[in-house]
Amino acid sequence: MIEFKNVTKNYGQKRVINNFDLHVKKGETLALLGKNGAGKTTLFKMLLNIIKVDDGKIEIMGERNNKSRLREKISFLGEDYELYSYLTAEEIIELAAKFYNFYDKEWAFNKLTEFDIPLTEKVSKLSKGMKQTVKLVQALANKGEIIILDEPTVGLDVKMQHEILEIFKELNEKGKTILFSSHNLLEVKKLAERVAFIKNGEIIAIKDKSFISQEKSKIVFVPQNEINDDRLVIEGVTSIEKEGNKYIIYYDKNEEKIISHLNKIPYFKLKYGDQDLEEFFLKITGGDDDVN
Amino acid sequence: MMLIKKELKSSRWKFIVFFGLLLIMAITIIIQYPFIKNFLEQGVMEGMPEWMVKGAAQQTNFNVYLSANWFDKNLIQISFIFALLFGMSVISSEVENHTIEFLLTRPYSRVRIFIEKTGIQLIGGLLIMGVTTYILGLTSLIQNYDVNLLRLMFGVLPLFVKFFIIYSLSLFLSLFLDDQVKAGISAALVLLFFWGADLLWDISIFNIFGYAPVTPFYTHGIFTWAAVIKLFVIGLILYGGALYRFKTRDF
Repeated sequence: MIEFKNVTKNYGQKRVINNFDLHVKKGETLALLGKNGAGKTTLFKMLLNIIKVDDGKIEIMGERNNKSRLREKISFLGEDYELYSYLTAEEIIELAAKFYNFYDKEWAFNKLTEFDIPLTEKVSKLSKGMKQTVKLVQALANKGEIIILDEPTVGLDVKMQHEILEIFKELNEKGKTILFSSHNLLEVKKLAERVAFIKNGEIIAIKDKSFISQEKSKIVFVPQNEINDDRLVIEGVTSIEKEGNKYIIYYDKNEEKIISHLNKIPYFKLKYGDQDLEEFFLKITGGDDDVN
Repeated sequence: MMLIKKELKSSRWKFIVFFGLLLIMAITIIIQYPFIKNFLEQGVMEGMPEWMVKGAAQQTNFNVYLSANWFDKNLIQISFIFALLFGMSVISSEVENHTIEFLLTRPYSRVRIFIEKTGIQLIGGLLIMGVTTYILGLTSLIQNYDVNLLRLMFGVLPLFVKFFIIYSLSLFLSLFLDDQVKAGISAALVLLFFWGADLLWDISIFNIFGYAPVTPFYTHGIFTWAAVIKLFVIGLILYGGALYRFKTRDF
């Protein structure tokens, strides 16, 4: 479905993507996992032909990626792109719809209403989370066969993240091909069937879901006040470690409930999903980037 | 024209101010004419150098006054500023605000995006120049001045070609500099340099302010087709260069 063949990209003297090879199969959900600056966004931009490939080639459904009509079948959500601040959410949907032969405006408006997005409010007046939701909904409404998401849940609150991930799961069940990037392990665990680990513009390992699922899920929690440890004993929590006033909570299920429970306790820090990426990379490579 | 609503909304203040300024200038030119004429006929130019006296005498003719002040002063000067403002921001603002991806990720070719975005502004500019010139002519007729409305309207054409050159130059530079302000200032400096250089050397074709003046056409019917076509070709080259850059560069 999507094929990167020996793709290379340089910015001046700096090589940001190096002989990148990747095949994404039809109907699969593949995650690109890597830290900021690993090259994930550049790869997506090259896939959409926003950035040109210096060497190698990219094919989508057997065709070179520079054909604009191919984008009829792609739903894309970029991490660093913004919506027009002077348009309302409704106008954004109307504008996006004009580009496609098929665009499900009704679905988009229903979703925005469902997420309590004020349709007639200018984008500049919306919160960060609301903007991200509008970006996502307008991107998905063309019902593309291929869905490309660059850090799709950045800026969303826990509830919204959960709902958005449910939408992705639904899309995957409908046979859509999803390629997404994240530096959030939790998100990757929930969605991906395969994970490509990226470092310095190169794939250092490709693993399937079972590998990443073995990794224990954990939440780092720093409450504002001293709390009784019993308050953290929730269904799904398997163990708790305490380092000073910091708790590391390991769990195997009920993640939403646990997070929503912790949200009710005043805290300085509540972090999950991306706190151990460095550690995880080291585990994969054994400290050696060439492992595959 | 899928982008028309968005483009009009994003540039609405520029269009409004452009139109408003030209309208004020057009009406002012007509209202102040009797005062200027009286002033000049009172013999205040006596003792002044001959070229000034000659120029002032010409201004007592309403049509010379109208054309010289509208086409060769107000319209070109205000159009110069707005062509720079439109050209420097049409793509650059999208890059600076990170909205360009919204367009580039759609099933739409870059060429089409470029032509629609710039086309709307160029047509908007032409309409504003045309409508305000028409209002100028109409107001003159209402005030019982004998004006040639057809020639007046036709006189907009060379001015629009100049607008097109200035627009394309600032657009072209903005696609390299990725900074609206720098692009606008650079384009202005290039045009002002050639204006200054024309005073020293014979390079009139590059002097956008002086080349192909409209007054000889309006007052005597001498339309310099060759000059206007040459200007249009320069504009096309700059526009084509900007399009090529937009089509091939990374965003």
